[in-house]
Amino acid sequence: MSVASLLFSMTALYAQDTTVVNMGLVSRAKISMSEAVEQISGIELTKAPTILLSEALMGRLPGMMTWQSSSSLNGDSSISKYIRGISTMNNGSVLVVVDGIVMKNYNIDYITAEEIEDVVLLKDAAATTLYGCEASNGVIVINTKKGFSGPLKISANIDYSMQQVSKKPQRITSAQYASLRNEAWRNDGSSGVAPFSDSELGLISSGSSPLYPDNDWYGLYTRDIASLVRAGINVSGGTRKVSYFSNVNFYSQGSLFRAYKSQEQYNASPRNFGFNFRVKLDFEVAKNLNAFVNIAGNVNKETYAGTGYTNSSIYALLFCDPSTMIGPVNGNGQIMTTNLSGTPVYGILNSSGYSTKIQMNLVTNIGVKYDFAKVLEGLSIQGGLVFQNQASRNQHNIQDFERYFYDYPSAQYLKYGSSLNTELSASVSGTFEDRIDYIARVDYSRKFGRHNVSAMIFSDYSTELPGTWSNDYPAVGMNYNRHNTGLMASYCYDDRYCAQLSFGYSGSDAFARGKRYVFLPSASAAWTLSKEPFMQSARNVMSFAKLSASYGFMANDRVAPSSQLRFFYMDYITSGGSVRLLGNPDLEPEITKRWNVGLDLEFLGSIGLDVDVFGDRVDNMFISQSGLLPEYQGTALDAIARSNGGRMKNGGYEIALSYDKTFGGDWTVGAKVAWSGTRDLVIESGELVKPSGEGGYAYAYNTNGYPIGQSFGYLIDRSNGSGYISTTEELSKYAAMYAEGGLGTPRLGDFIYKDLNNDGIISVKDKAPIGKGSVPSNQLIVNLNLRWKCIEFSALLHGLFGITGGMDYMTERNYNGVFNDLHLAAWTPERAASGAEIKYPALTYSASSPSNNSNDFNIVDRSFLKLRNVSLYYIFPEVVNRALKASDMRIGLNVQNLACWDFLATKVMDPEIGSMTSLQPFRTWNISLKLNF
Amino acid sequence: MKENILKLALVFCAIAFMSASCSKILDIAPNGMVSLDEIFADNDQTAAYLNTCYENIPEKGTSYDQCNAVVALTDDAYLTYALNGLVSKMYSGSATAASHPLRDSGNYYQIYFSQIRYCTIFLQRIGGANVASEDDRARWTAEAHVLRAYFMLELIKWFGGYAYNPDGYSIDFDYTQAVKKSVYELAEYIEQDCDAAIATPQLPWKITESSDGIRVNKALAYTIKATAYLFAASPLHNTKEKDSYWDKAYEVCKDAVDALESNGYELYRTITDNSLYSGPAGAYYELMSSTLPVSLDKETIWKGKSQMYLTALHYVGSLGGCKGGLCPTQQLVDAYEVTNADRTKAEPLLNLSRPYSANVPNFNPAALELGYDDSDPYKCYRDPRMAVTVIKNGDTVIFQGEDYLVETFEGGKNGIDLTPNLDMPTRTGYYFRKFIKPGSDLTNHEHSPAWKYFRLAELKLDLAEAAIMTGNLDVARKQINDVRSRVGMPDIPTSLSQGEMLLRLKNERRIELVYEETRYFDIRRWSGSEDDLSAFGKTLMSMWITKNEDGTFNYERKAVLMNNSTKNRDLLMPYPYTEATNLRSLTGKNWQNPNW
Repeated sequence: MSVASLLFSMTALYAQDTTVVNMGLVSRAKISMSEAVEQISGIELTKAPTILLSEALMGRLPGMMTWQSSSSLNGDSSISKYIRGISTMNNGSVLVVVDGIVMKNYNIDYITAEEIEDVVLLKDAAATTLYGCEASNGVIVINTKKGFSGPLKISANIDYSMQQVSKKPQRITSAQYASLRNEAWRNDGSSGVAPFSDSELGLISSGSSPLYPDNDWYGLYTRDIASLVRAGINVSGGTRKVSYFSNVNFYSQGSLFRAYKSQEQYNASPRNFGFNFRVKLDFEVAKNLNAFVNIAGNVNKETYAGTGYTNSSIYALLFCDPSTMIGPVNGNGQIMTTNLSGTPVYGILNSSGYSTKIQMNLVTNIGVKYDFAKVLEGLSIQGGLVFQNQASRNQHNIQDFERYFYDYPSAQYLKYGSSLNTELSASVSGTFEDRIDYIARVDYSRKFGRHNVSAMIFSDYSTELPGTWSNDYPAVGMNYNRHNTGLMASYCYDDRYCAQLSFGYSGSDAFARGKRYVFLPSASAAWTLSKEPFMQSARNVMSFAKLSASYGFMANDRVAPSSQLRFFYMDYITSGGSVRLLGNPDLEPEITKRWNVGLDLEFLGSIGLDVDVFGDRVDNMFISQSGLLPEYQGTALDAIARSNGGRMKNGGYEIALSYDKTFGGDWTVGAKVAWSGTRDLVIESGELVKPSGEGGYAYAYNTNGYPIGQSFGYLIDRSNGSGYISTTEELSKYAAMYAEGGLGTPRLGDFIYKDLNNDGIISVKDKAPIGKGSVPSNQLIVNLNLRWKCIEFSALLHGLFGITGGMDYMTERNYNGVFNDLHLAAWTPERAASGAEIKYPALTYSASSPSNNSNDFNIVDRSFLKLRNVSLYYIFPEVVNRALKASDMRIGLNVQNLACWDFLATKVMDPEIGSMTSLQPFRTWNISLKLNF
Repeated sequence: MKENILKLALVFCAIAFMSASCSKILDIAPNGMVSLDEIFADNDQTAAYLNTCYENIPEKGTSYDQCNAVVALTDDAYLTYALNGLVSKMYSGSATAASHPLRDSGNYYQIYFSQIRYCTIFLQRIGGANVASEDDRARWTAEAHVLRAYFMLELIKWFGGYAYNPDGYSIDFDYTQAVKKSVYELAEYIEQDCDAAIATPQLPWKITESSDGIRVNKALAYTIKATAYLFAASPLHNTKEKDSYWDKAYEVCKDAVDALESNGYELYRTITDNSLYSGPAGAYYELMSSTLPVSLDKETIWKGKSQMYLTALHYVGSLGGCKGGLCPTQQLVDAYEVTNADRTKAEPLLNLSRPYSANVPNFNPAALELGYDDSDPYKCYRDPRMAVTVIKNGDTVIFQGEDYLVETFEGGKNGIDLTPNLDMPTRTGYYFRKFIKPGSDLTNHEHSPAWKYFRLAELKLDLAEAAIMTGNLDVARKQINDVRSRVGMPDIPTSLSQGEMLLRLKNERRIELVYEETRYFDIRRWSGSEDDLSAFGKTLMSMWITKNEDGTFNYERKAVLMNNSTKNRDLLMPYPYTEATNLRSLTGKNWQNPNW
């Protein structure tokens, strides 16, 4: 039986590895390269049942931390990516390059795993220097599959996924709701009639009155499972003169919500449908002259409720209405709401109309390559043009509906607001953005015996038209122009000693003439110890050893991107004299200098150990000078000129241990454990020191001396055993301290905060740093792949540690009261006296309650460990293949986000999302069928 | 071989060419941004820059969150619908330096300094600007001086002293050496600006063209100068006890009044529209509630654009949908003097040196002799200005063409009501009439005339105050009597001592300028830096009237309304929190106003 290709890539035995790593602009032999990169095969990515490439990449690349800060089924999940932590306060976004071309986000999102050959992560300066001013945060290089000269190859796949919400919100029954509202009201010391009188409580618990129902809005509207169907086909092959690769994929994403349609005109449940395609043609035009045409793109049609309610926005609306609200319609067919919300989900799904958005994203890359084989062997020249654009069209068909609420005192239905029932009315809007790159390059690559030489010089001029504009600030809609050039030279001897030198010369229109271009040198070297004669004796044990080091410059030209201001080197004075911005003509791009040292070892032909250590610093970071000037000089502080006066540093390490072995032809094991850590520190950010010392601030700085995104809040004083104000003596003591400091009036059951500056009052001066910054400190990736005969199993465990962030716990006063599992165990005098576990301060109606401040209860450690992916494949035996005239057929089961372990006190919020009223990540069960012909 | 090398050469040339034109390919396209040089090289753009200097002149009136908050925070008035708005938070006393509702509603600190900067830059550039006519240049320069002085004065009124440099601040100015200037030093800068404007013949005395809008004039320059020194000399800002600034204040005020009165300014004494207005206070009422043409109104020194829509906000509650809004207090009503029938004799109602003891009024025996009876307080004759300022129980207003009897007694149509969360009724038993034209109501309604920032009566009373403080009692008497005689009130006795005259002057100022935002600043500048304002409106008094079955009324004074923004720290507005912190870090000194 032929061994079908593995569904995972073995970290190949180094010693015999001849693969070439394609880093976009240059390629290197993996065995001898001196730059620091990570590589992952496209096959690994096919295991993730998703339409978004970012989701497929989650937890796959050591060196890149990813987490999902918002979840969505509409393709707009927000996934944060940090390559080696964060090195600047200005714009931490990662550059993505596909087939050597810088790609806009809209051309990356929908790339399917089946098109990808491999993904390479460029980590150090030596690898990213050539990408110029856009690349200071690292580069992800995606290489798509190529055509080849050979017989036609077809592969097809079809997937069906069931997506379930991984954490359901807390179900609060009407009886619980009423008692929680009464509890909050009592805690606030209110007098008069409680929100729910005793008779009303009785009616609620007996369930006998239709005026006091117990509605489960979440259960009513939300399906347990949403479904996603994907199908795709790859066709590639070629002749001697032409080679091609093509790929088409379709997907259809169903909605999470039941529409309960009350009308037959339209279905407003948010859903989407689309396809993407890629065609790559490479052909020989004449002798030594090749041309290529690559076109890729995607078309999506998205449907929303109303003016643009996606699955996530409707999910948030489920919490506006309490379970005691009559509805969804009353006896007269009128749509019900409460007088505090006004956005009932029933109305949104049925009577707000719908919108469709059709979006087409396209990238066209054409070019010509000439090989100077006769003149100078190894020299080639290439020129090309890349045009990317996104065009979208929104079609709105909107209507409105009357809303009613039940007024209990007067026992009647009253109209809420002034909306009227209207018919559908249509309107249209659209956007357009594009990017054009003009690229030329000259390559030289030649092997003379044991000497391997290569050099490259290139120029890339890009002009980008953004999708936003502003009539007030016209500069916002203007083109972004960059000119990126570079020279690279590398030399390798015997694949044993390698050195590489790059010089980038990159310019951007964000700066004044004379300051536009930066010179970015970088160098790296590698020494393959295992090829040295003195290491030959150890070959049985240590089959491979390589030491590499690099140092170089990376640049960033994105000065505090603002929705209004650009061109920070010029004054922006309107014709009337109003100052919008004072310019600083001396502004120059931020330059980050990064060093990297790496050690790659392989033992016994199957155990690999990779260690990388890096550090970087930037000494001319963009900062606003507004923290250094008083307001009385007359220019608004946000209009003060920026400067290059900031400094920060960053550093970290990556350690990866892998084991790859095939036992006797039946068993194959590939396992990898990667642990990485980063730590960044802001040295100078233009922050003015606050007065400390006697009666001053406990912490003089909030930004300088801390990692980016350091949270500050009050520390809870738990010395009385609980951390809550529990006795009347404590209450009178803290009442004075809180009132003096402007924190309002505390009650029994509010938090006790520490007085860090010992001035006898609790005020903003007592805020302290809580946890670490907004970038996680450590990442753990455990990837296990097993193959036994025709069964393959793989599992991916992903953990992020040291993330501190705020959790959205304090929601009891939002809308009509949004309660989670912590609120059910809130502080009451009875609970405190009985010694039961208390998980939340005393409930309140007041937004200015002292407990409702940032403190170490709601700023917590959001570390987690998730079982990101578990996949099981069965490869059909040859018999079946032959019957179908296929060469390889397999069926698989994938589960994404199977399990999550975290440190949170609550059970209904995901640590990545941080809130109960936002869509939680989906646990996706996927069945897939793949065929190769 | 050759052609290949040629191709190579071509290619390299192409790349080199691209690199050479590098800088140009990254230039930006023109997009509407201009530079200061371009602005001042053009006549129209220079005029537009002057317009920018005119921006952000405070609207006053009811522009503070839809009510006249500055009046609501004094002992003259109480705001009915204080739910969660600006005034309610101030009444609760919960303002902090970080969040001060009155300051934050107008962002005065940042905006006035920004305007001062625009004026400074204009003054630096106007000399070399390309202006079409030299008359324009001179007039514009003078206007920029006056505007800068006005914004400086506003900052003094709210915040007291601050740092200032008439030459502006360059980007590398050393702020560590900054010093907070005293109000007197700032008044000296204001004087320099005003004198420069006064010396300019092209700056008119009055604005007569309606197309000129709210342009400043020479009379305003005199007034700002006088007001600045008045503040500098007042007890709150004159912290050096050994130096008295009153002499300087007197000299400046005297110059101002003399100059204005000899250049066409006089008090408005004759009624124009006799169908609507009558009686001794008719001219006063007409000046306050009707828009008069410049030819007739010679008292207003500077008026703005904003007009108040008072019948919607502060009028008789429940009169066709009007809200009570800002209502006069019993303390204001008590301030009106008691007179005899023909107004030959007049006496203050209360003992002016100590009007209340524990909220119980101390009546002036002379007033009781004239016939005042607190059990029937509206019976006897009062200062005519009371009838045109305050609406009390039993007064009539014109509503839809007919007379309407106002009932503020408990249960009456416009009755007093202390229940919280209501918009309509008065809490004090009175309603305001002052700026509302007779016959105006919610539907058939006229806006109040444009806000008068300064008028001659105020300047005369400024002079009277400075005169009393320097011992020139005759001058003071003349000014006060001028103001009184306009409304038919008798002269004040010649036998008063300096201290007594000061009390009478303060009272006269209160009732003449009520509702015009002067009281708020007066009670503050009259306080010593250690005093607080608890005697000036911590408790606001109401008149609770009940109607008996026989139609007579019972009058009971109540003192239940509170305004907690009357502590020592409320004498001055706090610097914005971040600004005070920044300045503390830069200079090492504490810049924040006391007790914030």
